[in-house]
Amino acid sequence: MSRSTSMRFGAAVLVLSLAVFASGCGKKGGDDSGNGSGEKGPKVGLVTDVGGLNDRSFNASAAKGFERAKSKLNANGSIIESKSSSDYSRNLGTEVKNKSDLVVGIGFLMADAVKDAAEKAPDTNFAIVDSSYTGDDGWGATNNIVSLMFREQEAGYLAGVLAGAAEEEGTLDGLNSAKVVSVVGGQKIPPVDRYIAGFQAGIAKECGDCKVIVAYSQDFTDQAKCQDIANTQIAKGSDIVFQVAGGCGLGALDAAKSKGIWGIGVDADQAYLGSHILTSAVKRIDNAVFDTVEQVKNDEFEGGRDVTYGLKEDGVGLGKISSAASKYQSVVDDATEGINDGSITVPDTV
Amino acid sequence: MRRHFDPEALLVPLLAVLAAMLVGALLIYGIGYDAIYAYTSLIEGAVGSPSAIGSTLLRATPIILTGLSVTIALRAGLFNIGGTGQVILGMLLGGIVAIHANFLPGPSHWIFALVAAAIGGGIWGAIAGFLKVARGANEVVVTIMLNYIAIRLGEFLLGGPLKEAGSDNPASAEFAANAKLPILWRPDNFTEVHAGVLVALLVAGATWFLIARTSLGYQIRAVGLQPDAAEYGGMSVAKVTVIAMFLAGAFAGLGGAVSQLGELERLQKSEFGVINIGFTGIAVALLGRSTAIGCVFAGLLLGGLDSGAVGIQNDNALPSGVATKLIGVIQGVIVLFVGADIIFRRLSGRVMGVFGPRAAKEPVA
Repeated sequence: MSRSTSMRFGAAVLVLSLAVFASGCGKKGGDDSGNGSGEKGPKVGLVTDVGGLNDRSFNASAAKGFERAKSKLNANGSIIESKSSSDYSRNLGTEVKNKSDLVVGIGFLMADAVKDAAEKAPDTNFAIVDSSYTGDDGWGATNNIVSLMFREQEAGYLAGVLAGAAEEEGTLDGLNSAKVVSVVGGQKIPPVDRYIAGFQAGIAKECGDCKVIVAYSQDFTDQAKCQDIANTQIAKGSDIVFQVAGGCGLGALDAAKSKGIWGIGVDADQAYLGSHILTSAVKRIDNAVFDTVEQVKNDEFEGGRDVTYGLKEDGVGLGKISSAASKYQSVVDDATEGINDGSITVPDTV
Repeated sequence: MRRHFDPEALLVPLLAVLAAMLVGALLIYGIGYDAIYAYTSLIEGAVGSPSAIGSTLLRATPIILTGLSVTIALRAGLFNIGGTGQVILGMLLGGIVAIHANFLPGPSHWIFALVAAAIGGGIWGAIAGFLKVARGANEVVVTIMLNYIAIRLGEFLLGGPLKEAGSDNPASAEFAANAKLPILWRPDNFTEVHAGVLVALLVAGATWFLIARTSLGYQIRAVGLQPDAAEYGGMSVAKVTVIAMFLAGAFAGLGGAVSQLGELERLQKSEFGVINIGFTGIAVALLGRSTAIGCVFAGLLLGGLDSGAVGIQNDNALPSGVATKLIGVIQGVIVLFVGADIIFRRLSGRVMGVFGPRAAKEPVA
C-alpha cells in the first residue's frame, strides 16, 4: 500500500472511532438477566439447532417458553444459537459448564449430541424436543434426559374436523364442489405422519365422502418442492391444503394463496401469512419447555422417559381460526371435549 | 517481487479488524447495550480459558482449510466460489469411507477417509477447472452451480442410499470408531481438539512450500499474474488451471471432512443446506491477503469471533439471536474494509487486478 492510501485509510478509521466514542460513551445498556426480586429460580440453558431463533417455529417457540419461565419462575440462564451441527455438542457443553440445572436441546437433529452430553454430565438434567430414545431395545440413553414428545395427531384431528365441516357445507369463499382436500408432508417421519393420521380421521368424521390426497416432499426446507406438490393437488380439485413440511410447506401455503383456496399451517401459528390460512395445527413447545423448567424448580424432574404432551396438557392445539370459519368453532370444541374425556381416540399412524 | 517481510501487508487487515470492531460497537450502543461488556464477553469466549481457546481452534480449523482453498485458486488467477460444493463432496466421500471401510486397520481408517475427502473435493473443483480450459466456462458461474448440485446430491444420498437402515431420521449410520480423528487435547469434557487442527496447519505449510518453493507453485503464480506470458514461456495454462482447481477442491474437501470426523457421529441430511464454511473461506483468504500464513491467522481470528459469539450469548451481554448476527456483521465489515483497500489501490492505479494478480507487489506465500 502506498503511503498516501494507507494514510487515507488510517484517517477513515480514526474518524469512525471518534464517531463511536462521541455517540456512545457513557451509555449503559446490558441486562443483568435476572430480575432481582423473589427467590432464585433454576438456571436453564437452551441450545437451538441450525434453524436459529428466527425460525418462527421450534426454536422461537422454545425460546418463548424460556422467557416465560424467566418471568414466572424466576429462571435465569442463556440461549445459545448453533450455526452448524458441530456446534451442538460444544454449545451443550458450554451450558453444562455454566452449572445449568437444566439443559434443553431443541429438535431431533440434536439427538446424538444431547445423548452424548448427558453421558458426560450425569449430574445435569437434560431435555430434548421431539426425539425419543425409546425403541425396540428400550431406553437408549442415560437417565438424566427427558424426551419432550407431542401427540401431533390430536392437533391434526382438530384441523381435520374444521376442514371437514367446511368442506361438507361448502359455503366458504374459494371452496369448490369436488370435496377434495390434501396434505403436503415433509419427510415421512413419525411426527409428520401423526399429524396426517389425525387430519385424515378428522376429515372422515365430519365429511364422510371427502377425499384426502397425501403426498410427501421428502424435504423440510425447499419451498419450491412443496409448492409444486400443492399445485398438482389443487389441479386435482383440492381446495384446502394442510402443510406438514416446516419451511418447505410455506411454499404449499403460498400456492394455496395464489390459487385463491385455503391453507392450514403447522407447528407454529401461521395466521400471519394471510387471510387464506384457515387455521394452524400447532405444537406448544413453549409449554413443554416451561413445564420442564417448573419440574426442575419443584424438584420433580424425572429423567429416563418420554413425556408426551397432547391437547389435555396444552401441548398441541389449533392456532387462530380464520374469522370466515369461526362458525365451525363448535365442531372444534366438540372434538376437543371428546379427546379430553377419552371418548375420541385419534389414530397415530397413517 | 520483494521477498522481505512487509509490515504494510499486516497493517491493512489489522486496521480493517479495528474498524469493524468499532462499527460493531456503534451498533451495540445503537440498540442500547453495553459494548464494553459485550466485547469483554466476546474476548472471554474466544481466548479467556483453555476451553475457549480449544473452541476457537476447532472453529478455525475448517475455515483455515477453505481459506487455503480460495487462496490457491486466487494465486492461479481463479476465483473459487465452489467451497460449499467441495466441502460437501469431502464430507460425503470421507463419510462413506468412515462408515463402510471397516477393513482398514487402526489409524489408517481415518487417514484414508481424509484422503478420500480430499480426492472427492478435488474432483469437484477440477470439474470447474476443466470446463474453464475446455469450454471457456467462467469458473465463478460453474463453481456456484456445482454448489447446488452438491447440496442436492448430498440430500439425495442421505434421503436414500446412505440413510441408516430402519431409522426414521434422514441421517447415515455412525462412523466407525477408528475413522474418528484422534483427540489431541481435551481442555474439558466437551471441547475435544482433534487432529484436524494439525491437518490444517500441515496443509497451510504445504501450500506455502508449494507456492514459494516449487516449480508447480512458480507456474501457478505465473499463470495467475499473466496467463498469456506464462503460455508464451512454455507453461500449459490449461494444466495449471485444472491442477490449481483440484488442489482448491481438495483443501475444501478436507475442511468438510475434519469437522465431520472430528466432532460428529454421522452425516445428517439437514446439514448440506446450511454449510457456510465455504463462503467464510473467501473472507479468510481476503483477510489473509491470499497467503498461506495469512489464512492461518485470519482463520484463527474469524474462528475466535465465532467462539466469542457464544461467550456473548452465555453472559447475556446481548439478547439471544443478536450476538450471532452481530458477529456476522463484524466479519462482513472486516471483508468490506479489506476489499476497500484493494479498491483504493486499484483507484490509485498501482495494481492491475482486483484479486490474485498483484503486479506491484506480490506476496510470496
